Amino acid sequence: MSAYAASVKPAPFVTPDTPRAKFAFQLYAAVGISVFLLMMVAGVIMRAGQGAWLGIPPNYFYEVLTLHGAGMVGTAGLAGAAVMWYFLRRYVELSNGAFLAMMGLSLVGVVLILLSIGLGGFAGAWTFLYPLPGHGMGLWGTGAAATFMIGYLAIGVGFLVFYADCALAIIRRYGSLARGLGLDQLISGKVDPAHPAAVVASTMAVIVNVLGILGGAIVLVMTLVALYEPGIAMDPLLMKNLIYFFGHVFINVTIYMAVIGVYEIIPRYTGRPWKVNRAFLGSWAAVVLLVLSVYPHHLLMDYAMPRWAAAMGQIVSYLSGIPVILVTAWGALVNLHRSGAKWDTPLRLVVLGVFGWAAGVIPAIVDATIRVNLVMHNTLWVPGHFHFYLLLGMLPMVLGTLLYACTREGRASAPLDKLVFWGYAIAGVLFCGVFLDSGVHGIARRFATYDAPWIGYAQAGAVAGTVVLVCVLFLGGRILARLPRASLAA
Amino acid sequence: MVGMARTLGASLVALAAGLAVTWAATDGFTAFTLETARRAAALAHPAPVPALPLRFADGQLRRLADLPEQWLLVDFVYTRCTSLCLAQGSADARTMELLASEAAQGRVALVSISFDPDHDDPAALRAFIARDGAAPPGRLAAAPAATQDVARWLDAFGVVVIDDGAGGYAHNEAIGIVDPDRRLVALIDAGDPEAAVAALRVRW
Amino acid sequence: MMVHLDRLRAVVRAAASLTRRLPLVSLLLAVLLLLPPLRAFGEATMVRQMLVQMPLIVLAGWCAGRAWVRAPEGSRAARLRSFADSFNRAGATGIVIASFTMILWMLPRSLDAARLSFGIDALKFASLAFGLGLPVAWSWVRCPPIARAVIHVEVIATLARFGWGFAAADERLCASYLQGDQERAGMLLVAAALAWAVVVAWRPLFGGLGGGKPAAKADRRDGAIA
Repeated sequence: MSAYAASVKPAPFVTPDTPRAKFAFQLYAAVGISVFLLMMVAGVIMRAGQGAWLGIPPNYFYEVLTLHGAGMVGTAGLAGAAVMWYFLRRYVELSNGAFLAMMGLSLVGVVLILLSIGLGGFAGAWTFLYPLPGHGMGLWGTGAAATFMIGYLAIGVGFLVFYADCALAIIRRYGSLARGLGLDQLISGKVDPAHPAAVVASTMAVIVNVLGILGGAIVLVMTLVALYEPGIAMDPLLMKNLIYFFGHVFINVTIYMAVIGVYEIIPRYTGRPWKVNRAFLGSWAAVVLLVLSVYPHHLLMDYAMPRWAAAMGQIVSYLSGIPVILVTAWGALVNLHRSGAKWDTPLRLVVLGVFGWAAGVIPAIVDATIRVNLVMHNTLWVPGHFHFYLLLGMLPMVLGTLLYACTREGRASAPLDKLVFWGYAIAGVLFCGVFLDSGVHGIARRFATYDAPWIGYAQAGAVAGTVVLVCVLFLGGRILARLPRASLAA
Repeated sequence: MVGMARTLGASLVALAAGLAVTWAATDGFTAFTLETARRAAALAHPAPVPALPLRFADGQLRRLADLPEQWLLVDFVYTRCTSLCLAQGSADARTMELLASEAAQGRVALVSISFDPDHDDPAALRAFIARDGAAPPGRLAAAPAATQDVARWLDAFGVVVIDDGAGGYAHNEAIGIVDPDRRLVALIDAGDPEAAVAALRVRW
Repeated sequence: MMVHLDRLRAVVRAAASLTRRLPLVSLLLAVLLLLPPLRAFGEATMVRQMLVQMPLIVLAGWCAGRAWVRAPEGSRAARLRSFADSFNRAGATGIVIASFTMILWMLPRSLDAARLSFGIDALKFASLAFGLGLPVAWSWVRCPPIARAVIHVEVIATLARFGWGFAAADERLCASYLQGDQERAGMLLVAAALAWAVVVAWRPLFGGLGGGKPAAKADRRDGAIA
C-alpha cells in the first residue's frame, strides 16, 4: 500500500479499466517522452549551433527549427490530451478507439512532416507563415510544403476525433457542454462543489481547440491552394490572423489540458478534495472567450491590423493571464497549506508546473504590452516566454502526471530523484532566463548564426538546455521503466 | 466481418476513383480553373487556329494563314469597350513598342480579333487601333467575316464572353502566341507585355 | 364534426402520399431544372448555381436516398439496400463518395464546365443527386457520432475554404461569371459555413444530444459522482 494513500475518496470510474485502455496510456507515455526527448536534442543542437560549438549550415538549422517547433507543439498536444484523457475518463465514458485514433492519425502526420523536412528540406517553421511555404527558394519545393500541410491536417483530424469523443461523453453525462463547463451553476449561483474540475477544464479544452483546429484546417488548405494556384492571392494578413489564431489556441490549450493533473493529483496528497466554486467556474468560462481572442498579441507589429485588434490583444493578454492561473495557483496553495502532504517527485513536478505557469504569465504579459513589443518583437524574449510556459509549466505537469500514474505502488524514493528534480527546475529557469535576457538585449529570434557578442548567450543556453535534457532523460527513463506498472486508477 | 472487409474494399475503391476523377478533372491537380487549363492545353497541345476568313481594318478578307508575318500575337476585343479594354489597349501599345523593330521588319504582327462583328466594321476597327495615335506597323485588327464564325474563334482560343451587366461584355483575357504554322502555342497574361514579348522571343 | 374530421384525415392522407412520392417528385423537379430555360436561369450567376441550383439537386438526391433507406422490408429496393449496406459499414464508403462529389463540383473549373457544356451539366446533375445527396442520406444514419462530428467540421471548413478562395481571388476564377458575382458567392459560402457551425454547435453546447434526459440517465448509472 502506498504511503500516501489519499484520504480523498478515489474518483468513481465511469470508463472501464481494460488492458486496451492501459496500453493506450502506455503508448502515449512512451511516444510522448521519446519525442519530447528527441525534440529537446534538436533544441540543444540549435543552441549549440548558435553558440558556435556545432557547425550547422543555416538551411539545416531552419529544418531543425521547423522540426523542433512542429514536433514540440504536436507532442505537447498529445501529452496534454493524455493527461486529460487519464482523468476525464473517471467521470465520463471515453472510448479507447478515439484516443488511439488520435495517436494513429498523429503518427501519419508525423511521418509526413518528417518526410517533408527530411527529404523535402521544408524549413518554413512550424508556423508555416504565408507566403513562405510557397517560396522555398530552391531549398524546398511545392511538394515538400504541401506534404507538411497535409501532415498537419492529419494530426488535426486526429485531435478532432478525440475531442468529438470527449464532447459526446461530456454531453451524455452532463447534458451539454455548457453544463460540463458549469455555466448553469454559474448562472443559477447554486454551485455543486463536487462538480469535477477535470470536467470543467476538459470542456473548455474541447470547445476552444475544436475552433482552433477548424481555423487551422481552413488556413492549411488555403496554404495548399496558394501553393498550387498562385493566381489566388490570399490576403496575407488574414492568413496570419488565422495561423496565429490556430497556433496560439492549440499550444495554449495544451497547458489547460495538462493542468487537470494539478486538480487531480494535489488533492490525493493532501486529502482535501479540489472543490469548485464560483470563482473557479467563472474563470474557466471566461477563459474560453479569452483564449479565443488573445492571439492578436502576436500581430502587434502588423501595422495594417486595426488598432482595436492590437488593443484587444494587449487587454485580453492581461486578462487571460490572470483568472484561471490565479484560481489554480491560489487553489493549489490553499490545498497544500499545512496539509502535511508528503513531498515526492510527482507532487514536486506538478507544483513546479503551477509555478511555471503562474510565473510564465509575467514575461507573456510584458511582451503583450504594445510599448514593450515595439522593442522585443521577434527577439528571443518570445521563445523565452513560451519556453517558460511549456518547459516549466506544461511539461512538469505532464511528467508529474505520468510519474504519478506509474509510481503508486511499491515505489522506492531515491535521493537522486530530488537532485534531478531540482536540476530540472533550476536549469529550466536558467534556460528560459537566458532566452529572456537575450531578448532584453535585443538578440533576434530565429537567427541561425550569431555575431560574436551573442554567442555567449547561446552557449549558456546550450549548457542549461543540456542539463534539462539530462534531467528529463532521467525522469523519462524512470517513467518508461515503470510504465508496465502504470495504473489507470492511481 | 464480411461487411468490414467489403466496406474497406469499397471505400478504397471509392477513394481511388475519387482521386482518379479529380486528377483527370484538374489535369493532375494542376488546373483548377478553366483559364489555367486552357493555357496549359495551349502549351501542351498546340492546335491550329481556325482557317476562317476575317475582315481586317483595311476592309480586306484574309485568313490568319494569309498574313505574311511569321509570328502573330492574337487577342480578343470589342471596340465599344470602355472599361478594362482601355488598359488592354495600353498594354497592346506597349507590346508594339517593345516589338517595334521586329514588327517593322514584318516578322511579327499583333492582331486584335473582335467578337462583335455586327458592330465592329472596318471603320470601327481602324478607329480602335488608331486610338493612341496612328497604328504602328504590324498593328492589325479584324473581325470574323461571318457572325456565326465567332463561336469557333472563341472556342479555338478558349475565350468565354459574358454579359458584364452594364451593357458590355466581360471575357477572360490573354494574348495568344500563334506560330509560323499558325498554331496557338501559348497564352500569356494580357496585362503583361514584357512577358508576352519574352515568350515570343524564346520561340523565334 | 365527423365530416370535418374526415376531411382532415383526407388532407393528411393526401399530404402523406405526397411525402411518400417526395423522392420521385423532387428528382423530377431536379430534371426540370436541367431544361434549357431553367438551366440558364439557375446558372446565370455563380451565386445561383452554387447556392440555389446545386443545393436543390442535392436535396432531391437526398430525398431519393431517404426513401431508399426507408423502403419497406422485403421490397426490391430494401433487398438491394441491404446488399449495398454490407459495403457501407458506418457509412464510410458513402461519405468518401459524397466528399469527392462535393469538392469536385465546387472547383471553379467545374462550375465553368457545367455552365458551358450541357453534357457536363447533365453529369453534374446526376452526380450531385446520386453521388452526394443520395449517399449522404444513405450513410449519415450509419455514421458513428464521432465521425459525424468530424464530418461537420470538415464541411464547415470546406465551405469556408472555398468561400474565402472565391472572395479573396483578385481575378475572375470562372470565365462564365463576373468578379462581383464571385465575391458575393464567396461571402455567402462563408456565411453558410458560419450558419452551419452555429446550427451544428448549438445543441451540443447548450441543448444535449436529443431524446430524453441524458444527464438523468447517466446519473442512475454512476450516481456516486453527482
